[in-house]
Amino acid sequence: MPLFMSLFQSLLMKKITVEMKNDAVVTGILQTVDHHLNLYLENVETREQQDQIHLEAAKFIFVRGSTIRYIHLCASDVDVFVLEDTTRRDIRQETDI
Amino acid sequence: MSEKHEIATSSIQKEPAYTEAIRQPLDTVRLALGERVYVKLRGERELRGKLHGFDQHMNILLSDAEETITHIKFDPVTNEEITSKTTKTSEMIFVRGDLVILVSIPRRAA
Repeated sequence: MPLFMSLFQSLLMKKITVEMKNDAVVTGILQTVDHHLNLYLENVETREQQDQIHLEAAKFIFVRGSTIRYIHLCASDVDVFVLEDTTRRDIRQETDI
Repeated sequence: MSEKHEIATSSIQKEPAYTEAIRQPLDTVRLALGERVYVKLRGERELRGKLHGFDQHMNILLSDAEETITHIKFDPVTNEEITSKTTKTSEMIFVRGDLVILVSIPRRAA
């Protein structure tokens, strides 16, 4: 499984904040993720912003992975040492051909 | 030519120290894991933070990140560019790889 897909798999049912390339910001509970990093969020809240696309009524959102700019996570949800080790291993596998 | 190449790679495999050396561009980033890095992004955005993970797409995970966005406005009266900066912080941020222009790592790690 790709590194970041497995990271987000470990964050299922956790609250994440997604900042999209159109500057829309949504916070919600992560339900599913796939290898494109498409996300499905529930209990969505949007941040009030000027000239924001209106998403206030949306409670369930599917986000296409390619439109994501950032995903803000809770630091306590991520085991950084495991992630660093996995990164080292995965990159070596990719480059050692 | 191909024979020479095979000899070169087999000698690298025999010597374990070489596997830690920089052979691929991504190795430089790998050696910066756990260090603070600078990331330049599309859309006049910059990030500074501690690198904890990345993949071959340059998807990146940073902690204690500071984002700087530079707004550039052109003043037609004075013919000057007016720049202003806003900064935001995030305790843990995932950055999608297609935005990344460059990653600068500390000299120590390189």
